[in-house]
Amino acid sequence: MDIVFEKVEHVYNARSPLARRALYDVNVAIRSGAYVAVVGHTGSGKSTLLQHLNGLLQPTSGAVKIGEETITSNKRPKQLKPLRKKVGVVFQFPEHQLFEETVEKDICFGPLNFGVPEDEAKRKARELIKLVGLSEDVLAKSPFDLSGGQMRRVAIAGVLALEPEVLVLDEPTAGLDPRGRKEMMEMFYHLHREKQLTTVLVTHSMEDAARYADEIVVMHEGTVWGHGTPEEMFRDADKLAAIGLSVPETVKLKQQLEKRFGVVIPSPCLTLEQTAEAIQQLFSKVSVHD
Amino acid sequence: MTNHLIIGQYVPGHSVIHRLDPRAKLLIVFAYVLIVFLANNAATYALLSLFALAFAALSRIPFSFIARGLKPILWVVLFTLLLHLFMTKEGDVIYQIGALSVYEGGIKQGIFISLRFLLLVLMTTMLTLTTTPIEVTDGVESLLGPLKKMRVPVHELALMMAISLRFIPTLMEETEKIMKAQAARGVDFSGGRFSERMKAIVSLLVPLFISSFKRADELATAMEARGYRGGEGRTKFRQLAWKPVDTVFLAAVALLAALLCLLRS
Repeated sequence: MDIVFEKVEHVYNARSPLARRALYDVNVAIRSGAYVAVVGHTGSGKSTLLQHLNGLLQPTSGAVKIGEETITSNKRPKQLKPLRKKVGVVFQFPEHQLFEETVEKDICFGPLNFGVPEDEAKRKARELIKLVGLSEDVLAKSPFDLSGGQMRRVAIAGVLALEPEVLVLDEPTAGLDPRGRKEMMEMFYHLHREKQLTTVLVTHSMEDAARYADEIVVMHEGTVWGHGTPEEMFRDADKLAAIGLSVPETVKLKQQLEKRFGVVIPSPCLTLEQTAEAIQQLFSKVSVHD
Repeated sequence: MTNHLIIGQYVPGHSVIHRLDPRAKLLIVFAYVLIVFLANNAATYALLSLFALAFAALSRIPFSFIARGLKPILWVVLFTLLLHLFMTKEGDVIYQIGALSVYEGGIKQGIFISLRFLLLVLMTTMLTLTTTPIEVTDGVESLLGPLKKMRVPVHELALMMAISLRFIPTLMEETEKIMKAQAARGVDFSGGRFSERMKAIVSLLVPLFISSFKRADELATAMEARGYRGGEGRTKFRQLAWKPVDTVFLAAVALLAALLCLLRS
């Protein structure tokens, strides 16, 4: 589903002394099937932006178009429910949303809310528990007997069970160990490719943004500061540093090498593999000169 | 939702009321709440209102702000007024609507009782508007100090109060987060059948309880790690200091009480 933000503004506690403008003049287009990373400093409006994607927040002015649906300030909240089936949101620390007696029931909770028949929902739960890397006998356990990492996986399965067309991820790996982090990001990427999802990832990790995203949206003080491919966005490290963001370590290395040796490395160096290859090429050139 | 409820909210300021010792403020409000019940005629109610209004004026908090905060209780006041208007049967009949008749005593009683209610809420609101929760807690602990001799765990009670006040905003934030997460999974908090509503509430309360217990556990560990072990021999970071102005205000309340005793019929 294509997603278009048109002049979106969001003011919290509008028309009160506590009014606070969190977003203004946001114009972004996300094409169907894209993997988009949203980065920005704390308080830049990332989370507010994200909540517009499934109508948890409505713009105070402007419009958000998601597929056929258009969300404006005067849309009634009731009309937004169908949208929530199409747009699945994995919030920060999603394990906090678990509440059922068994893992199976918790995964089925979402689908049942949207009127999916029970045996269908259960079938999906069995399928998803394997997809998120847990074994089927976890289904019968209480979610509160699981470890933190396992709970996170169950909660994510609960969102995936809605079979959304758009998957929104808010710092899905916060608080996980490096291995769990990598596994989870790989899983989302795999899903993105396999099910042709439109994925929106809110993250602090420039490395993840560089590795997985087709496009990066940089938020700064409530509006879009920049939008482009990772290569474009990470070209100017100083400009990013000015708004409190950095470039991935690999890009840093590339830029330092270029400066130090006065060479141009053609590779964008967005991942470790790319960087290793680029450096190898650089050295082979040097040895030819010798 | 919370925008209009100012009861329990603190408005920072440097007025004479803000700077009163919290113990003095607690005593003033407590005494006021008691002596409100002494009033029973126009003169005494006028005197009480004058005192409350003067107190509010001295706090330098805009009247419009206080009035807005009192709005939610207006319905209760109105209900009290009407109840007394129609239920009290004293004095002459002033007005007759069908089977209902309004007596002179009813009007008087209605106005007095709703005024009493309004004054009570106004004064207690003034306490929380001008005193931070932590000051209130310190004040309560200090005032209840003598009970320590009777083995009442005053310090622990005050600590409980401080902790619960501290975590109200945290809990509200948490509630909102969980509601959003469940709404994203198709929960409809605003309507639906009874059974659906129950399910919606369970999906909110269970995670909320679990996170609260977890937080309590973490807090206890953090306190233990920093060597907290109750009020025994514990010194205070915030020292309460009784000033002459506190005595003046307390004397004013005593004077008010004496006048009320004289003027009541």
